[in-house]
Amino acid sequence: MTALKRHRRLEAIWASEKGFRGWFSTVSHSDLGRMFLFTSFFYFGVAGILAMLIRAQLATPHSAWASEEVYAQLFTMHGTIMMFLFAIPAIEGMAVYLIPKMLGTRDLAYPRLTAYGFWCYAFGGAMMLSSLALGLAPDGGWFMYPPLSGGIHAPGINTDFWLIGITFVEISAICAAVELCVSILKYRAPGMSLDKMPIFAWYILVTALMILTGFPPLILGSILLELERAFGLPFFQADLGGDSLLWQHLFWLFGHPEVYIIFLPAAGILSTVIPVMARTTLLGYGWIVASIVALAFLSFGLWVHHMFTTGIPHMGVAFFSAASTLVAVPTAVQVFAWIGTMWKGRPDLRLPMLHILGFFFTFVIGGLTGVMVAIVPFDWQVHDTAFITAHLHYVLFGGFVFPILAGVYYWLPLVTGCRRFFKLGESAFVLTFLGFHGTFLAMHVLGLLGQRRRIHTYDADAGWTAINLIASIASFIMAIGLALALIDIIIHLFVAVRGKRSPWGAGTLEWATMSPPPSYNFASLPHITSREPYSDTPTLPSDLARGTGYLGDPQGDRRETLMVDIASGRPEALAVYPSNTTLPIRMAAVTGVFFLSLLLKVYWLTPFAVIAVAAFAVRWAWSLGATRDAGPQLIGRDMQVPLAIETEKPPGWWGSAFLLVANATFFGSLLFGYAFLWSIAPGWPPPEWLTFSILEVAIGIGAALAAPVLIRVANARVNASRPATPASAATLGTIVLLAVCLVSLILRAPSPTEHAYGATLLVLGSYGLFHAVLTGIMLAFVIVRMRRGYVSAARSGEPAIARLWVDYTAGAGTLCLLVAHVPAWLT
Amino acid sequence: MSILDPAGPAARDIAALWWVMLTGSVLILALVTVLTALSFRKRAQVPDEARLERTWILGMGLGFSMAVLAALLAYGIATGARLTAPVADAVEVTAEASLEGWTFGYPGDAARGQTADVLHIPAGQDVVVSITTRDVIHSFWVPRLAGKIDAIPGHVNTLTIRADLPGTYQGVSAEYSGPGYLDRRFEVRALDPADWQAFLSGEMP
Amino acid sequence: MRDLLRILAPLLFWLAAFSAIYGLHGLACSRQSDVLGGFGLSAAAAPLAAWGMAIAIQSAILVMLHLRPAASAFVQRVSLVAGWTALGAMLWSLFPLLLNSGCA
Ligand code: HEM
Ligand SMILES: [Cu+2]
Ligand SMILES: [Cu+2]
Repeated sequence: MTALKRHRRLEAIWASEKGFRGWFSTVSHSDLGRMFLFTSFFYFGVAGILAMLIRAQLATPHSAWASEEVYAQLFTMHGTIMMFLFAIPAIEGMAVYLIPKMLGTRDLAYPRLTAYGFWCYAFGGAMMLSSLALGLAPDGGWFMYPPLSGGIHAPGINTDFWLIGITFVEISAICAAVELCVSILKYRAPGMSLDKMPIFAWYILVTALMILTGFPPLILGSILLELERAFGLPFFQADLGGDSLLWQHLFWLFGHPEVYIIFLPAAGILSTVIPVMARTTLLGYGWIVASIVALAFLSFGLWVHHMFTTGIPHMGVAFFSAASTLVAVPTAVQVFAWIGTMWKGRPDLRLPMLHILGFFFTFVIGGLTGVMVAIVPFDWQVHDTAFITAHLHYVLFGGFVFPILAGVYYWLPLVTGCRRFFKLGESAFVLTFLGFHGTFLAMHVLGLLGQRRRIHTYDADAGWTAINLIASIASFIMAIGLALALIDIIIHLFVAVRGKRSPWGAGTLEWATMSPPPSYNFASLPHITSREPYSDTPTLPSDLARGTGYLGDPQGDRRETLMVDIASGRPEALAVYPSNTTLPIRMAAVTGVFFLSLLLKVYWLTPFAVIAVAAFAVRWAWSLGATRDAGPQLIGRDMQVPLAIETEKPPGWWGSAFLLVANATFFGSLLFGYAFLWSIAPGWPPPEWLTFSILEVAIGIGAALAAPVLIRVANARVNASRPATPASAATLGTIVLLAVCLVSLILRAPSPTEHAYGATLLVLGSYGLFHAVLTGIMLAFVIVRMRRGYVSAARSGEPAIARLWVDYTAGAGTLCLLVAHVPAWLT
Repeated sequence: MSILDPAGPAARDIAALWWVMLTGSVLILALVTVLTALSFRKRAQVPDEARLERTWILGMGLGFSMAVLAALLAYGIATGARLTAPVADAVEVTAEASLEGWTFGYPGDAARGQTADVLHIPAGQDVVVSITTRDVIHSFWVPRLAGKIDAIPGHVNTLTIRADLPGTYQGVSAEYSGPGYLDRRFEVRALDPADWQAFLSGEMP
Repeated sequence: MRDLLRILAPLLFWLAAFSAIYGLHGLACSRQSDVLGGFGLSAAAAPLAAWGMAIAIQSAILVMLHLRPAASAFVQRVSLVAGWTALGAMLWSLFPLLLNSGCA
């Protein structure tokens, strides 16, 4: 087969549908990555305009631009959109687009999930945007502290938009995170062992793990607050056994890692681009990997530094002060590794490099003020002033916007295959840089002079007038700079001046194909022996196009790629992807109906929406798999591997495992909340405890112990090609028994609206029950699949996935019953 | 309102902390900028990788940063401990925040009623303020006297303040609390001993 | 998966211990302090004792990483750095326990 013929064959298999229908049915990571990026930059524009309105309002004292109510919506939506609808989706877009190309494979692990995530983001974002258009936007500040955001003080729908819309958008982050974890660990070019992975993949892997463990606390907090607002469950009401501090803990358990979730991928861009700009390799690859991992963990031990003024005992805050200074160390390691890299090579002052210099200067200042506010007494003074606003922008703009612009300019030639024509970018950078520092350097001073954040105006005699005016003028200069950059990028997209392949001379794989990259990325998959395969083999692109790698001969119309062993990168299985489908967008729409029914309080619709989502999920899962064994597959280079669905751990197993990591964090946060209320909240002990029931505990835990045993029997029988339906049905029976005990717990718990204790028991019981029902459905699904011949000794993946969920549900159910009963039993 | 114009020991300690940190930060920023700039100069030979790793990662990244941070942390924790240490013979007052304004209560018999939006304290003496709220979260902040502490429903937080000299100090509620936030302010009046006694006995409004 | 766990385990333990000791201190200073009292522990001693134990376990993890090296030299190097980092973090982030142990 010639290279051209191979291209045509692959293109026919992999291309998205033509025209605008293709947007809705595409599952290609290249399409979806770009859609993520476009949409997120659209929101950057929206939030930027809001920022300009804020600065216009603050430019002069007693300005009447925006009323107090409008101003509250402005800063809340500016912060919210920047964090949730711009920053996170932008990195998701970058990662979704780049990761498979950098790893030398053809797509992410679950193409339909990528699409589903995108559409959840698009619909959730539209929901948030409509609140702004309707003038009903959230107005409690981006961290939504109750009681201000509770039903008593904020009865309107504004806060519900935030709680429900953001939770909807977060589904997309969780989907992307599961997907990126599995893709980076299992979907790489053969031979790419962990130490040969491009450094960017390490950053994204760690970021994805952080999303899985960082977002659940906020999702939990949002659910609890919405339950309080909609149904009067008093989790955050001090007079009914709740505590508003619980929200702050849950929010910042998410909120601090969030900052690093935003920063790490940006740092990944820097670690990728700096060596290329300096014509060398990254200094201290291993050190950087270790410091990314350290940063990830340390950042989960810092959340209380946002709560230094809440009256936590000094020793408690001292721990967090210490941990917060410590987190600067791995950051310093990276910054100095980058400077060292520049010393090692010969840096060129090209456009991406300009933004990188902008990053260095800005981010170092942000880091230094960050260390300052980590020092508790200083934070007591500047907390909730303009100093904090200034600090956070140095970190977020310096640590995110400059790097992402560097990244956009660096990878644009890859995406378009063109080169820049007008050189607007340089002047744009200068304006942005000067404008930024003018704005926010000034705001540090305002904070020191006592200007609180979030005030909508100030008195002329406060002495802040001149500085505010300077900040506002500078912010408009910055806005002009950013607008110029945008125009520059748009011109680049539409004025096609053919550029040469790989204009920067980079050594990573994403450049070793055509640009713009074809729908299938690589005509055949390379065998990797070093960290910079393209530098080692300059003929790599044409070699791959000629089919010298793996999977150069497409079979039928299958979309094929390889799964590898995590550590060594040895090929393990041949994965076959589903092709274009509108299932994801339809399922996202139904998910949207679910959230909308909650928002508009049409609760009769909610159960129908849930059933519809479940039906779609079953259809989704049903379309996978096969009814006969295909046996070993030839993958080229004289190698044979089984199909992914004929391995013990098919893709779905890996996805479930990572989803359960997120799930366990959610459950852990719930248990933390329970313990927190019990030990710290005023208004305890509750007027009435649950009455201890030995029957409920014994049957429930007995069932939970039996279920994992029975499912293992079923698994063993599957592997031995013996009928496994009875054992599976028995497992289902124990799960139903567990569910019955949890229902009994929910029904017997004290009233959930009278005290936070009863409310917590209700949520705990419901969590267990939800999992019992979910696992029950899965078991029923597996039983039907067995009877239809989808399961065999080789195709044993589905029962294995069921086992994962049975184990989790049994564990979580047991814990639910124990934590509900033990305190009741003790008192 | 400026925290750089302290009028009491707590604010003074923190202002000193700021000046120290500012100086350190400017020096570090200058260092990093110069190091970055120097990487652009022409060099004859390529330095050896292992040595670079030692200098940049072990030396600068780990050694330098940890030394600076350890010193600063020790300084910060010592200051924090001093500011939260229990004080002997302090005057104890209460502050209750609400969306309508602040209510302050005083020690002693009922002769001295509560005051609204104005807190009276004796100058030159430590005053422990017990702070709580009737509705949403607020924060008690008098920038020239001390840092802020939140007023949280169901909890009572304490803050030690002290004004060196008699005078009036502006205070604000420094946690966003919805419409009317801008005007949630109060005043602290530090009185000399004679006025303070007069105030306590109810002779002064 | 095992290689990944080697890299993650030391810091995961630090995070768990750090949060637990913070929680323990919070509990000791809360109205539920009698729960600790029931185990014969005082508010000051409980977090300190837990810290000592955590340092011991953290060091044991490091020793284990040394004794049973990973197959890949790279994974071994990174996990050792992570192990040392975690031990450093354990000492650094909880050292305020030495200064005072009260609830002020
Ligand atoms: C485009 C240039 C930007 C300008 C001129 C700007 C300006 C501002 C201003 C003036 C405030 C303070 C509002 C107040 O306290 O009254 C603010 C708040 C905030 N900004 Fe920005 N900002 C910009 C970009 C960003 C970016 C890129 C991010 C994050 C990725 C961001 C995140 C936030 C957050 C989280 C808040 C706090 C909102 C709150 O208090 O609830 N901003 N911004
Ligand atoms: Cu933080
Ligand atoms: Cu605050």
